[in-house]
Amino acid sequence: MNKFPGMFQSSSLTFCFSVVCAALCLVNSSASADDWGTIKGRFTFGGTPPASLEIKADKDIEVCGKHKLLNEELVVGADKGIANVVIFVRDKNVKVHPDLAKTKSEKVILDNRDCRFHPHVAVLQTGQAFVLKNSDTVGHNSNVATIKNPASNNLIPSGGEVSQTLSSDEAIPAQVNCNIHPWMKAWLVVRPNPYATVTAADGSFEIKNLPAGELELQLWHEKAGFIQEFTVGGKSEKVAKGRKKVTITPAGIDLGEMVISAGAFTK
Amino acid sequence: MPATEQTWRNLKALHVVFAITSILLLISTIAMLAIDHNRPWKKYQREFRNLETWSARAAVDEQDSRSYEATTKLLEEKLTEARTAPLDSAIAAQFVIQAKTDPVDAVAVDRVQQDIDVLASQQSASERLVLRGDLLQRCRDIAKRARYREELAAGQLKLRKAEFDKARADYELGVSDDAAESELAPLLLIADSKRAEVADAGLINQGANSHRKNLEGLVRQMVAAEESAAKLLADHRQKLSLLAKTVKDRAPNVGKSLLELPVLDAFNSPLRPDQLWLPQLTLNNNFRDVARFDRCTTCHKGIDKSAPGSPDEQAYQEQEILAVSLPTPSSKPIGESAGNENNRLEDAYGFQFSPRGLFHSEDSMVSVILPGSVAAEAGLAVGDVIAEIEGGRILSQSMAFQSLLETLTWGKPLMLSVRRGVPQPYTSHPRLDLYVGGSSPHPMQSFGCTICHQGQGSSTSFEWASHSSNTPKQGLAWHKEYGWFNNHHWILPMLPQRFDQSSCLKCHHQVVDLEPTERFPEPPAPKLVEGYHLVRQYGCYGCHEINGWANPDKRIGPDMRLAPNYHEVAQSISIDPGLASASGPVTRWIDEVSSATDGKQARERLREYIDRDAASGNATLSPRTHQLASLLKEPETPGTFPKVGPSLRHVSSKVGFDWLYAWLRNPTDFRPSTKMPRFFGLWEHLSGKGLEESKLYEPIEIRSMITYLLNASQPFEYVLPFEGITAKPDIERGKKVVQVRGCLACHQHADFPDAKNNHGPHLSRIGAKFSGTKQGSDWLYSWLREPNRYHPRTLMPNVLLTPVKLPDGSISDPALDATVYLMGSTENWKPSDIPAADSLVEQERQSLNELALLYLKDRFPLVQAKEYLEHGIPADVGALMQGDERLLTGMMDANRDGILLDYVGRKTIAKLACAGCHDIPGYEDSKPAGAALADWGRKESSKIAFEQVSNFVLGQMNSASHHAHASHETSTKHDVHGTLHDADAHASDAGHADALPHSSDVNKESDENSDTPVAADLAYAAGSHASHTTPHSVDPDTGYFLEKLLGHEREGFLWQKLRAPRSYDYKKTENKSYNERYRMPKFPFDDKQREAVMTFVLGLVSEPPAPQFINQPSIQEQARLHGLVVAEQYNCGGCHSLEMDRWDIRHKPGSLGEAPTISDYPFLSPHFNEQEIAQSLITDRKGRRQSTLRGAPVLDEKTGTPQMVDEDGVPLTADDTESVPHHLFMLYRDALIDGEARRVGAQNLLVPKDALLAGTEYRGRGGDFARLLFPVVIADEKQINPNVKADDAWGWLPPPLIGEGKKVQSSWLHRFLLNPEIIRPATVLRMPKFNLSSSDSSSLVAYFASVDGADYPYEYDPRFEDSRLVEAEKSHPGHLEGALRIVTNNNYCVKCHLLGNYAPPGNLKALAPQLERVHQRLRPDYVHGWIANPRRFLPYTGMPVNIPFDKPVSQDLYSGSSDQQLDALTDLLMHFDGFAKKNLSLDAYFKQQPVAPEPPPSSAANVQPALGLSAIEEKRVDLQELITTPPSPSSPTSEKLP
Repeated sequence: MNKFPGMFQSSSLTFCFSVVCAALCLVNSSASADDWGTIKGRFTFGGTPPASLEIKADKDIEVCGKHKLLNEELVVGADKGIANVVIFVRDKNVKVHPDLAKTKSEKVILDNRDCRFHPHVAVLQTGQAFVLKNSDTVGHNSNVATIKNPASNNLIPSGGEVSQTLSSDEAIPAQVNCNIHPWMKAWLVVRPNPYATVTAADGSFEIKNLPAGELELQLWHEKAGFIQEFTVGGKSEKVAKGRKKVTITPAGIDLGEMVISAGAFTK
Repeated sequence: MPATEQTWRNLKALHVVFAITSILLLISTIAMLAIDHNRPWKKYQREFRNLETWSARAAVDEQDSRSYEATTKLLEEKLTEARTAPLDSAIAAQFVIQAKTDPVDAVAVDRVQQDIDVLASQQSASERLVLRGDLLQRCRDIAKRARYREELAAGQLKLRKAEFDKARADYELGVSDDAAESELAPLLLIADSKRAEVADAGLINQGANSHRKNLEGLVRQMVAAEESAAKLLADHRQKLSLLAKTVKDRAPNVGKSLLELPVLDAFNSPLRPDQLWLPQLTLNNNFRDVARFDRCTTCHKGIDKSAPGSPDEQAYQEQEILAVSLPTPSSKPIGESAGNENNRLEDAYGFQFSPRGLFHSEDSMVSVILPGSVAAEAGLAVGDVIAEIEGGRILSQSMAFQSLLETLTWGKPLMLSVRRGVPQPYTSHPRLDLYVGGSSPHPMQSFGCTICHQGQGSSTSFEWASHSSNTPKQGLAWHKEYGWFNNHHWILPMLPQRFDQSSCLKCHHQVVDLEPTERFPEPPAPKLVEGYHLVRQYGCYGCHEINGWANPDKRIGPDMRLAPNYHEVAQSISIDPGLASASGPVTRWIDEVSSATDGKQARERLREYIDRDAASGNATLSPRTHQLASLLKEPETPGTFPKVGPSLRHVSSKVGFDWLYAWLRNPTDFRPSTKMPRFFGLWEHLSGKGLEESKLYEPIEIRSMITYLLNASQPFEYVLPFEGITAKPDIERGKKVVQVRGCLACHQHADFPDAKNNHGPHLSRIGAKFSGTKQGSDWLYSWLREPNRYHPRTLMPNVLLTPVKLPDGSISDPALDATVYLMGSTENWKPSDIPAADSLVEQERQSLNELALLYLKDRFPLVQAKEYLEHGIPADVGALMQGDERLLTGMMDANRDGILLDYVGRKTIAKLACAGCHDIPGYEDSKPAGAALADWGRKESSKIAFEQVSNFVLGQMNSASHHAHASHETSTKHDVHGTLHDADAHASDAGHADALPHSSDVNKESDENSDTPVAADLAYAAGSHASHTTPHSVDPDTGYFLEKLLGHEREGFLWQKLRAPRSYDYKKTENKSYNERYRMPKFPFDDKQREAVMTFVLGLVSEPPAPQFINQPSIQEQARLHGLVVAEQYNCGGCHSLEMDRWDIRHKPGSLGEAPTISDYPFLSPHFNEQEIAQSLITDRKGRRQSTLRGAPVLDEKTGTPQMVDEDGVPLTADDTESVPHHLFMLYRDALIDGEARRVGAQNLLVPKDALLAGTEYRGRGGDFARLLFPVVIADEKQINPNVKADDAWGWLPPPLIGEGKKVQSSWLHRFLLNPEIIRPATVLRMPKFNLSSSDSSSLVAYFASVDGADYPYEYDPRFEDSRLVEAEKSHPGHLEGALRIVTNNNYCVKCHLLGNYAPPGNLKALAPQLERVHQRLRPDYVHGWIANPRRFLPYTGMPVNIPFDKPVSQDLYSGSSDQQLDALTDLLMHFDGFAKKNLSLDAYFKQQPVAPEPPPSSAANVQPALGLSAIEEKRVDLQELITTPPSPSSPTSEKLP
């Protein structure tokens, strides 16, 4: 069961992830298959996943109290897939597939809806239009704690929106909070290229049209920080600072099911 | 008598005599000349001249190096390039058009046009150069001719004006002569026509003027490029020529050498003594003040020299050895300059050697360093001598070349050992920004040297200048080198280095003005200031008055005296039985005088009342009360310092006999960190009878003191617990209360090792103090609730602990919880070896009798004294008797012990001057018991009783070195205070004379114990002591003091007095009575603290120089200084940051990233002037720029320690060695980096760690407790809300008070400090209520205003005016209503803020201050800015930007621009009360149902009416929760107990 209704509906344009995927699907057929490849994989939870903690809204109860709010720091699906693991290409000057360029003109929306942020992790390219929106009937604010970009904290009245662009990329996702509703938290991934994604509810991810050759992936999760260790096919693999080197081939690579032990999330 | 050839004397003999005397005269003349020629200071002057010449030459070399030539060439090329470039066609065309407007130049203009065309098509550069030159010349000629014509036109204009003036004058003359109209008309006509001519000429002139200006402007534009290139080149060349000139001026030449020849040098020699004449800074020469002549600069010629281009960097620093790691190129460089080693060196590293060294010709001395080169970045500097390379000594330059260019592993850094600086006396003064420098506060020309350093300024030789050695070793070296000796006859010898800060006190009477300031962030006199604070903390002034006033108009030094003890007097009076009949106001007056706020008026009235009573004839009040009344009168210059110890007025309500006994016997036994000194058991100097007496009498003295204290103790009313408490007291909850409710801001406790503040006592064993008595826990509870009930002036504030509703619904009393926790904190300490409280054994009784007799003997003849002791004092005699002896009236066998103990106790307390630190009933009028210290620094050593202490100290040290190894372990413990084991050591050592403090110091430098004959005749006669311990045989510091002690100098006396005050009784107890012994207790100082105290005391000389030299701060600065003293007294900085950290970083350009572009309200833009911007763009030799950051490093939310990140801002892991470490820094003041402003609140700066290492970090003032709690409150909140944002936690903690002066209104702050209200509901602790006097509060308010440069005491802002609203309403109808719509809209302010009786429901942590009270609290300007962008004022705040700068919001609420909306909100908040009163009800504005108005406060003992049942009551519960913020994470959302 999808615990986060609306989060991974492919029709929703509010999700960068979906946008990127859709764009990737479109361009794949036209690009030269020799130079580009796909990477995919899946993150799962090793051990018994903790029960998801319900958050009891204590503010604007008539609006926020209607929805079941959960602590989204660690979201593990029924099949132990870990959602919201961030995967992006660390190299900043990586060659971008020509047809992916237009993804940059799409808007990325981080919506305050039902007293939570939609999506929980937003993926943004530098220079891309970023819209902070409030679809709720109560006021929200979005306290964006970027490191390389100027931090901002705007009040977004009900039905309103604030748009901005971020010019520098961020090496780790930046935290977004709502001070009015302190339980609300989201993350913002800002990269100089479109090669960034977040795992779906089942823990799977896919990045298409990566340039062939060696690349360095950054693996990150909000509770675990850098994902430094996981098990693939029973074999333990250590990745210092969550930086995994991969070699992209036109045939595409599959990292397989990467099991992260429960211990990594107890920090 | 016939004339003979015979002479009176034998001529031959006379010739011989004459010849011999001539020769002698010649020899002596020559000798005289030779001695004069060879005066030592001349040598120094010559050497210094060489040094100066060398530095100038090095500067030339640096300019002259190959890079200089390269730059010259480059600049020349640029110039040629500019001169051969084609003219800017647009400008040229403009010129032609402009020039053509004047047809006179038509021909010339055509020619110009032709030339322009030719030039454009000309290929050859040389041709172009000529052509262009001609062309420009032609253009200039045209402009010149235009100027000529303009001048002609101006001349014409002048002429016409003159004619017009004449015509007008003619007409006016006509008018005044009453000429006929017919005569006047033509005159008027002429004047009119002349006026028209003037107008015409004016037009022509204007035209010519603008024509010329245009032409000249265009010519300037045409040549702009080449002129700037030419200027760069000229500047570049001038630098060198200036330097070359300096070299020429400095270098010796034939003329100078001639004048320095013997004999000739008596006349106008370039070498001559330098002299500073200081007529104002007089020197007291035996009762006569004479002008001061300082000739120190004769030898110390470089003392005021600063490095080129810097006003305060030393030109010549003192020698030191540095380690430098010099990176090498990856492979051996191959260059054309193979032959020249210096050039190769420059190629490889960017530096060169001087052809020969300065002080030693073979030295490898660096003379050139290219800016930005490897050498510059490694930290090499011009003048450095390379002493070692990779551990190998470098003896010549060829060796250095070899090691640097041949025999090395390329690519691997070389480790160099570098000697930097120059030897004495050539060095420059340290801190030229502070001393000696021309722009410093103490310029050499006006202050000279000896006013600070002392010594004999008029002397030009080392030995007679009274230099003072800092260690015996240095003295010895000086003796060998200069024949130095300790000149006892000069009463003002130079201060040794260790005490050089003492002199500051002559002019800096407030002492706190020597703490770091904005201008001088580097502490100016840290040791002295530490000494001052120690004197304050340990309350030395309780016994030793330090009176800073010679008379009420003349300040002579620091003033440290006890404040008048009105409240003690009032409390004493309050129990006078005679008051029963007094009328109402009297009791009120007494209460007011007893209270902290010091009711001045009440005091006067009370005194008058008592005086009237005394004079009335049938007095109802007791004689004691009459006596005390005089103490209520305010002295002319009252002291200001409180007694440092706790009040003992109600001591029996608090502690019992056992604890008191243990405490008095040795305070460190119970509390190792106590500041209370030790009075008893100081026996190490005693033996025989003296020791015997001490052992017998001291226990009796302790018992008797306790008897008196408990007997005299006044009754105390305990605070009763709150009613309605349903939760049982809980130790864990209590621990949390102690942790978060503020205790740790002042107290330490073993359970919280990170809390380091020691403003209040250590609490780890506090339970053991109170467990001895029945009421101990009641007392502790009362103390926690209302400390001022026990002591109205106590520094312990009321932390306002009120009942808290726990998550399970029960009500707990945090004070009760804390009490049970603290009562359990004992560390298993118990009083041990305590005698029975209520009975004396025979031996004790005998000692008691003996002691009593000692006192009685002082008062009565021996026989009578014995009689009184035996039978007591008869009632009739006692009734008339004054003094303590009255206590013996009616003594009988039954009450004998008790009465004698009481009597002896009273005497002992007086003897030991306990009332200097404590409020003790019966001692309200006691006077300080010790020697006054106001001029102790000048006390003549002949007036100091050294007694036999030298023998004692030497004996002690000798025996220590005999078994140094054996006693090492135990004796080191003496110096370490603070650990519990120490207490045991102290206790067990108490009776052992051989347990020696400082014996660990002995033999530290055992190689120094060569007792040379030279040492023997230095300062003291070592031979007279049959010992082998000398100042040279011990460590240098001890040696220094030992030398001073043996030489009977005051430093030595003071040292030993602080180490072992009673040791001056050594071998003296045999012939003095027990009560005549020295009484000073031993303070628990370590060596460093002792020296700091000495620095302060030695500086108390009471010799203020002329008023213009005394530091007289401005009114604003004065306010800051007063505030600092008060803030320290109440430990404001324990919780709050009063000043943020300051980081003066030195960074590589661009290494802090680029400044982000931010669009915000223009009035929030940072302001930096051109000069500051230019300054921030200067790159130093090491290729770094300097920036000043003020703020705080971002803390890790888990550990609370500063967070380290990599260059991307990613937190560093412990094992990460690859990433470049950076600090994350939160700015609290706008900074300027690389010429660009960085704003507060925009983003955290990523500061490379090396930029901070290369710069300086100055820690701010205060805020430790907030930092301590930061991770704690985050962890607590995470249990409720895992998504909490770390920055938000700052909003729950004591806020930094940066900008407080500009933020709040003075009157509000004054009231708030006296009676704090709740401002931010989200805080985990409340601002406590301090027992401040009204003037203390004023001082603090003035402090904040002064620090921020805010208006004080009254502030004006037009926004306060009601008329403003009328105007605003006119221009924008519905101005305030619109604002109120925004405030109350569901999206905006009331989302988080309290407003009136409306409280937004939800988590306490997200609640914001009451808006209704903003108009009382905040300054309008602050409110305006804050609403615009809160983060600009508090970078951590969670308050969002509600009204963005460029996008006005919700027009349906308030239609208008962003600025209008801001103004409206500010106006509303600043006039909220008036507005609210006018608009009857707020209800309409709330979509939600407002809560019911609050019922009147419940009368039942403060129990919170938080237990209601109805829905409305429930809502009010939330509001009440705010007032009683639970210390532990408990909020409406939490389900379980924390």
